[in-house]
Amino acid sequence: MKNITSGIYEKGAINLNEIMNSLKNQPQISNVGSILSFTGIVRNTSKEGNSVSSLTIDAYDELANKSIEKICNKIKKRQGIIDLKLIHLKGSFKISEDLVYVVVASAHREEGFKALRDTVERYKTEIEVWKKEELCDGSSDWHH
Amino acid sequence: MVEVLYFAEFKMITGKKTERFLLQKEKNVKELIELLIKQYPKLRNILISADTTTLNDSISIAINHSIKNVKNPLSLSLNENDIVAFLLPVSGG
Repeated sequence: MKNITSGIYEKGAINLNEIMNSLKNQPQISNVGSILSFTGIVRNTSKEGNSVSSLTIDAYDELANKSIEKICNKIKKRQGIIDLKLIHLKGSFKISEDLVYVVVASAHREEGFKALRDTVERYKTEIEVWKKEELCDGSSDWHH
Repeated sequence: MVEVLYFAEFKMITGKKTERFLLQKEKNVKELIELLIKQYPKLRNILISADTTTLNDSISIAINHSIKNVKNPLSLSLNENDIVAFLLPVSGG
């Protein structure tokens, strides 16, 4: 079983089951009482209510991987957090396809829920990726 | 020569992932931006603030995969084989 590291991956290079299995095979698994996961997927409407047909994620891998490592290292230092994986995919995505995985292994659920939420909020604004929504009317828009 | 990495709108406008530019005068970010805008006029509105000659506040500059937080980024010196990227605010998926 390979150890999956957090970072930027091409679409299809990794899935949630592989991340879960990687966490379950780590040496400290006997200290874990909770594994929580968040999956960000492509929604069919934009924030403005327009119909979305597809989505593109561009990434500056070198910087984004550093930012992901920084977020993970900070959250993993918290009491009760055993491990954390943050995987952001890049490429072209259809509606409902997976974009992001955050998985937290913790001793107890309370610290796991907090760590999961904080990691999600941080990746949204701190890692060097850019999202473009292609709308059903033929237009497209990069989000900033 | 310096190498410029393009992301998001920059990639769309240039149609490229990366491109090399020869700096011959000031050898700084300002000269590079002038060359970029000359080649891709559509980049002006993204890079330069309206009615000014300063870099747009929303743009960050990375040199050799490190973000530079300085007061006057246009004056940043560039060396042979430096890798430069102009970054718009990010938007995680």
